[in-house]
Amino acid sequence: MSTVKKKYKKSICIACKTEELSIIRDFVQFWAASYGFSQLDTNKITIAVDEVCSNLIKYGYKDIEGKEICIKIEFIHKDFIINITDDAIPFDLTEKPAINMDEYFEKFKKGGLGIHIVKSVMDEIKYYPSNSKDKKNTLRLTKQLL
Amino acid sequence: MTNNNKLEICFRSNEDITIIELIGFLDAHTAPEFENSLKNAIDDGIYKIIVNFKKLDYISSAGLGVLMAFIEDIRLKDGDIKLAELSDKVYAIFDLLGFPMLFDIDIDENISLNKFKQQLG
Repeated sequence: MSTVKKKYKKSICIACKTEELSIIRDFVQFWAASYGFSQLDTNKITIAVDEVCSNLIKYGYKDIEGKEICIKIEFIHKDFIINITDDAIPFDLTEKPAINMDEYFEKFKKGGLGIHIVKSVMDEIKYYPSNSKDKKNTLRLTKQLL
Repeated sequence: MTNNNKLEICFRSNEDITIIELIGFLDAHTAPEFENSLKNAIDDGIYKIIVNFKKLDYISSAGLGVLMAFIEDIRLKDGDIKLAELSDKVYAIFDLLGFPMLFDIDIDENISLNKFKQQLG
């Protein structure tokens, strides 16, 4: 397994297009499975990253062409960490209030499910907006391998 | 080159019930196709719909959002969107968000069909 880990890159960048989401999913799925997450957890981590990238493409970049999203995987102790960087207008999803799903269904609400998924499946979410030193925003998602 | 960003949508009918079969991947890229299919069906006066997920490999919130976009209107017209034959992987996402609270989810398409037919009777 260590040979596999050394052979493959732990970072990837995609063009800001929804058709490239599958590349991100393949990449995250490969690494999560390689580090020993169950099929269920691998799927959860994959969808969380998909949701973040989908939101970036749709709302962050508003389908502007020529932009990219980069993903870097780290594994520190038992923490599987996914860093997602972009240069869109900063948006901190951790500040969005939690959705009450009972109310959501009762009122047939729309939108916001992607962020709810990310918050539901990841153990830790940290956001570092762009600043004078670093022009990129970084969202850091962590899932612990139990 | 990866091919896991495609969605195929097939339509079948059983009496006045329409079955929409989803094949492949339902994400932010392909959700507009599903949305158009559902919208066209509803615009054509089809209010009894079963979505068969048997051959769907992946769903993200974009796909769930399409179902949320139409369920209220279709129920106001005495119809429903029933969901059938979800794989464990796809069901896990519905379950994560509590969708079984709002949607009728059956393990077999025939169960969904019978529910509609019993309502008709």
